[in-house]
Amino acid sequence: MQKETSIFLPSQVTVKVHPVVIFNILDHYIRRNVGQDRVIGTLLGFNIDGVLEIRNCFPVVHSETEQIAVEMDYQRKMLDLHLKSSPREPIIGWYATGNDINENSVHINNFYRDEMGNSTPIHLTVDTGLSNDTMGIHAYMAHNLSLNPESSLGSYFSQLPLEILTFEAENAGLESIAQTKYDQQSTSLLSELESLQGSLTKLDEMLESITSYIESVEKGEIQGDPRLGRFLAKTIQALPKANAQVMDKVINNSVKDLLMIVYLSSLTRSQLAVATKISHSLSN
Amino acid sequence: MDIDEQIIQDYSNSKLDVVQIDGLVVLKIIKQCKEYLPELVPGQLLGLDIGTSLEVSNCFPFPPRDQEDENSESIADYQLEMMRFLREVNIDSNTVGWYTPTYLNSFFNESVIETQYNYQATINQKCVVIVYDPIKTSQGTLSLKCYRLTQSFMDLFKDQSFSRERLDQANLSFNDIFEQIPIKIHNSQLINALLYEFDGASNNLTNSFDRLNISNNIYLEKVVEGMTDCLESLNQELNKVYINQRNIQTQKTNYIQQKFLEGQKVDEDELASMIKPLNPPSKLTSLLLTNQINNYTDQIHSFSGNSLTKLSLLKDLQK
Repeated sequence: MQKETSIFLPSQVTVKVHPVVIFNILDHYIRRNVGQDRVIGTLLGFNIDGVLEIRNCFPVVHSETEQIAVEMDYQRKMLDLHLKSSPREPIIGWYATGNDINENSVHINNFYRDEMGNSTPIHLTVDTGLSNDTMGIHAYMAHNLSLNPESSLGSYFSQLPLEILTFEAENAGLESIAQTKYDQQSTSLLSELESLQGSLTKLDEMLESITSYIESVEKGEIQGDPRLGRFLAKTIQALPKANAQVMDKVINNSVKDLLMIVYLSSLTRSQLAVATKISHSLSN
Repeated sequence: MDIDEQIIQDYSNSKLDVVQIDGLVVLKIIKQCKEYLPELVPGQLLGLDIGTSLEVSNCFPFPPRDQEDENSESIADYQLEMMRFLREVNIDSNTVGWYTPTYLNSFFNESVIETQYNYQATINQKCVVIVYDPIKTSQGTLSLKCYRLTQSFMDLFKDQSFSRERLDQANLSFNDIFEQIPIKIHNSQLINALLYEFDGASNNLTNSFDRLNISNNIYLEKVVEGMTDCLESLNQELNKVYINQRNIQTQKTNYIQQKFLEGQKVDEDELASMIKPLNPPSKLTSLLLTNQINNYTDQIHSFSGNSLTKLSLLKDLQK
């Protein structure tokens, strides 16, 4: 979500994350065992042309007390199960909650690199501690710092540009879910008319802000941005110029079609109700 | 009373008021159904049942049906393994139902009823099926519904006999098969924080205006097509019943004639015992079809209501 450029970028790699992944990570964090500070898990996704899309994830049992121990067996078995149901999402990295990267992370990174057949895993951190008043989600890729190919001095985790990618259906789902921000308990799903009303209100707000901006530029209060002006002009030009009469006719036709279909379907429904009533009364 | 008694009481009480779904489950269902399109791959719901509400906290998809393993054993194994692993990371490994994607909400068929019956009878009376329409959702509104078989229908289904007499006894009409249960969405506070962050990023602003699209008539066409198909099948069923009646009648008359030729009189009991009763076609299919047609009608009505609103707005804007 924060696009930061890294100082050490060996290849132009961008990472896209689906919101489902982050929800999953947060859910896992909430369900962690007592005493566990951070939780880790595996990321699944694929790599197309340098764009890494993270589509799914699952949690992995691990403990970080004195020694770092990750149950790789569990990880492998879960991966098998997952590949059975979604074979197009191989392992692509791992995630951890918490903001810092320490030497345990390096070990875990090496575990994952061995699992992935020596290609570099992506590391995603989600800051559940909400430091800096924000939930920082960052993606890293580890690079080995070494003077010679044998030994390695350490790893450097370089940050990668990350953005959230959603499908349209996911957007609709997110919007319905997002109602819980306003109502802490739980909200019911909005009916269609209500969500229609919501979109119209949003459109109204947007139009208002645009008109107020234009007015203040005209009055000379704000220096108008020429790019914005051109963009607005282009948008207004994109509205179709149609003859008022033609539009009227088209609208009326659509209304008539819809009314006819509604009439027919109500007719069918009443017919079915009558038939059921008759069959009931005949048998009694 | 203590927790064990409470659990047993909850389990035996079959009243269900509301289903509370985690936002995570909704997103997972959306994503998994989208991946497997155009195939419709169902999955399992996990969670807890508390009082008169059911809380769904996680889900996983079933592996898609391959050509090789058509048996349900592999799916059962997959389920067991998955639940075992999920328990280790403290995810509620308690089945509370299943979800299935549908196409135009046309899910009233025998297999769905059978599966749902199995769930409700074997696992928990409160098991539900969540029906998700991926195509409608990508047009702008989340279309997620939750159903359960009614108790009266469950009793009927147990005996597997759907003759007219049994149905009239039960006084069952077509919309008594499934009952819809309202859905509530619930999110933990951490996820609420995340949602506030998303709002700031304003990535999803473009999609709230998809709903204002007026030219969605293709959806209407498809629904009407589906409805006409259903009506045709219903017609066929009625024909079957008619033919069956006719066959019974001809059997009777043949028998009477035969006996008449032999010079004997026939009385009612002999008649009844001699004729082999032909199996009347199960009334279940016609019930289901009626239900489906009703469903389509509902969809048409809600969709038209929406479109009429948008069109009248456009008309006013024109002036």
